[in-house]
Amino acid sequence: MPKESRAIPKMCGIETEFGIIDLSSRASPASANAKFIQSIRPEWIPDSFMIPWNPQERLSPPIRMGLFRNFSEDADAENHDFFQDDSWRERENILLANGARLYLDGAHAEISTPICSDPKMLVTWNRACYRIIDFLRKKHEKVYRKKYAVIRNNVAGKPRDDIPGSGARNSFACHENYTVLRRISLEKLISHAVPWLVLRTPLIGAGKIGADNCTAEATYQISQRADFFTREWGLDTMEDRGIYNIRDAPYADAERFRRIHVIPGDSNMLEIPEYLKIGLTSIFLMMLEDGVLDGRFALADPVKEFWAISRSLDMTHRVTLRNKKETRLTLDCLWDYYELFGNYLDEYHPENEVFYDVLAHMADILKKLFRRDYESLYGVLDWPTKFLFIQRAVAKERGGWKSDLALGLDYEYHDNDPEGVFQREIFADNGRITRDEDIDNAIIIQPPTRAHWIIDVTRRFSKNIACSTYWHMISFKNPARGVLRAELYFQDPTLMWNQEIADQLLALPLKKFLIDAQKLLPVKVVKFCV
Amino acid sequence: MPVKRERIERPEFNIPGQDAINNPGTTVEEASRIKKKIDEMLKKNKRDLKKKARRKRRRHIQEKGE
Repeated sequence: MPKESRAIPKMCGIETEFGIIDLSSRASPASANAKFIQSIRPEWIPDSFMIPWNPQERLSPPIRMGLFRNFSEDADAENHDFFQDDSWRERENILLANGARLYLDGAHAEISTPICSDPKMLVTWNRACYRIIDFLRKKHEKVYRKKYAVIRNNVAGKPRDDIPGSGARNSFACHENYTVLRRISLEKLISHAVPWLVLRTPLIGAGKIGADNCTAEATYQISQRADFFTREWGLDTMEDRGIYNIRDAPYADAERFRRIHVIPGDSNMLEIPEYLKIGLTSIFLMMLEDGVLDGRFALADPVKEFWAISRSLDMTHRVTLRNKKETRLTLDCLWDYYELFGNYLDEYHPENEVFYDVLAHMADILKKLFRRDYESLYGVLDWPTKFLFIQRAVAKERGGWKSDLALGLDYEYHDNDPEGVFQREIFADNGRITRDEDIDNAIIIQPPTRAHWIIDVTRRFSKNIACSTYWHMISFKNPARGVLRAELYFQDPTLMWNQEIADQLLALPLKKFLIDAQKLLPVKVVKFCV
Repeated sequence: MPVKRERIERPEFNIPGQDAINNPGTTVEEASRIKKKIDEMLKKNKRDLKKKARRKRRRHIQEKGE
C-alpha cells in the first residue's frame, strides 16, 4: 500500500521572454519588442481578449506585510517601468484562447503559459505558445512588411574583448512557477531549494559562449544564467539576483498556497531538458511537502558553486557542502537525488506514470554524463548539442570560439523560427516528448485546469459584460455605467476542469452564475454596490 | 497499477583516459556518427548559417528584462 501523500498536485507554468530583433530597420531592441506586441491586430488571434492587467499583483504578500525589512516594494518598482506610472492600463495584454498571456514586460515581449497540472502538459502548452509567437512574426512580415528575428535565449549584447567577463551583456529570463502549500516555511523552502536549483544545472542548461557579470573567464559554459546570480535569495530579478526568488504572488488563496517563482533556469530549445526541469522540480517540491527531504545537500557557497558547476564541462567539479568536511561530485549529488526521487515515488506515488517517465529520462542522461558521453547527448540536452555543433563549425575558423561565427551560432541556436536551421535539422526530430498534433491543439484549447474555467467564464460573459481578467480573478463591470460590479476569485489553483459542472453553470445568467458557482466550485465572489 | 521502476546501479565516473569534454567517453562509432551528422548539416546550410548567425550576432543586443 502506498503511503498517503500530503503534497498537493504541482500546478506549474513557464514565462518566456524573447529577444526580438527588427531586421528590417535600425530600431532599438526595446522599440522592436514594443512594436511587435503593440502592432498585433485583434483579428489575427480570434477568441483572444485584449485586457488590462494589474502589475501590482506581482508584489508578494510578505513584502506587502513588511516581513522582509531589507526589501521594500520599491525594490521591484525601481526595476520595472510598469510601476513608474499608470500607463500599464493602456498596454497591450492579450489573454490567448489557450489561456496563455502575451504581453510586453518592460523591454521584452513575454508569453506565460496557462496553468498546467503535469510536466508533459506544460511542455506541450509551452511549445504551443512558441508557435503562436512564430505565427505572429509571420503576420507582421505579411501585413507590415517587417522582418523580425525572435530569439529564445537568456543573454544578449556584445561581450567586450578587452575586459574578460565584462558586464556588457544583459540577461533576460525564462521563469518557472510551481504551487506549494503555504505551511512550508520560507526558510525551509530556501534551504532545500537553493542546492537543487544549483545542482540540476548539468541536466537543464542551454549552454553559452563566454562569461558575464565580471565572473571568471570561460570559453563555454553549461548555464546561460549562472553568472547573473550574486546571492542565495532575494527579491530582485534584474540586478543582484538571488538563486531563490522570494516574489510570492500566489494568484490563489494566500493563506493556503504559495507560488514559487524559479528564476535561474534557462530557456530550452530541446523538449527533454524542459521536461526534466519541470518534472524533477515538481517531484522535489512534493517531497518537501511530504517532509521526506533532509539538509544533506546544503552548499557552503551556493553562488560560487553555481558559477563553478556551469563551467565544469568535464563534470569533475566537486561541490563543498555546508558542513565543509565533505566535497562531492555534482553528478554524485544528482544520482543521490535520483535515488531519493525514485524511492519517494515508489512509496507515495507508485502509479504516477508521468513522473516515472521523467525519472527514467534522468537516469538515462545521468548515465551518459557519468561516462561523459556527450555525443550521445547530442539532440537530447541543449548544452552538449550546441557545444558539439559550434566546436565542429569553428574548427577551421580563425578566432575559434571567439570568432564572429561562433558567437553568431550561439544566438542562431535559439531562433524561434521553425524554418531556422537548428529547428529544422535538430529540434524537429530529436529530444521530443510531445506530438505535433497535441501542440497544434494546444494553440487553441486550454489545458483542463483553472485556465479552462478562466477562459470559458470570460468568453461566456464578455459579450454582455466588460471583463478584465487575471490568472485567478475575473472582474465583472456594469456595462451601462462602467463601474465594478463583482469580482470572482478562483482561490484554489489545483482546480481542474469539469465539463458537467461547467455545462450547468455557464447556462445561467451572471447573477445566478455567481451564486451557484460558490456552491459548486472553490471560488469566492466579492460584490460591489452599484 | 503501480509503475515498475528499473533498478539501476550508480554509474562509475572515473573511466581511465576520459578526463575532458575534448576526450569524452563516447564510443568511437557514436562520436564519428555525430561528427558526420554535424558536417553534413554544416555543408548543407553553410551559406545560410554563416550569413544569418553573423547578422544576429551583430543585432542581438537586448535590454535587461524579467
